[in-house]
Amino acid sequence: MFMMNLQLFAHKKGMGSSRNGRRQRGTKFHPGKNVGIGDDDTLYAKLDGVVKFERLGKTRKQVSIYPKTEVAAE
Amino acid sequence: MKPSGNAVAFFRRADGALTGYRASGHAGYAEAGQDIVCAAVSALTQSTLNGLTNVLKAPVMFEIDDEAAILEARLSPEATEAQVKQAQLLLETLLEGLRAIERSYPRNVRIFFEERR
Repeated sequence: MFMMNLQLFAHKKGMGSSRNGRRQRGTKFHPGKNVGIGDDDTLYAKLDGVVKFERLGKTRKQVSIYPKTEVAAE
Repeated sequence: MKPSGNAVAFFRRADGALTGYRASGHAGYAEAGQDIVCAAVSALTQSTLNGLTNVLKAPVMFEIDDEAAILEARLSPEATEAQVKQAQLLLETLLEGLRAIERSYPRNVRIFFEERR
């Protein structure tokens, strides 16, 4: 659930570009192994490797990163 | 204050199903904090997004940018047909609500449609 802004489309008087506006993006991929999640739902890799999209439970999905060595050994 | 109007685009598939929406711009009814039209559009568009993600639990791609005054939400390509069908209730309800506001405040809200996947 994100924070609701009831004046999201209001004309903000004197709003310069430096104002740090709230920006949220969302996706339904959850962070899996070796993946972190930023403040605005941005997923990032914690190590170099191979990206894998996996099921997470019945309806959800996650993104994992596996070291190349691990993948090669499969 | 020159009313710029809040534009709300609904994305529609070739078969007529709604797949998302994008609200942008400033309602221009009053200054921030007193703009009741903006508050109504903000509440409806954000509540619908909550419904899609937290109630329907459909895969949704969304972006909210307070500074640019943009909210876009689209069903992800992975959404099942059952989820698309269920999402119609939320999206059609949003459309009805915004149409009612547009009728009352035609200078502050404009609704249109875009044909999209």
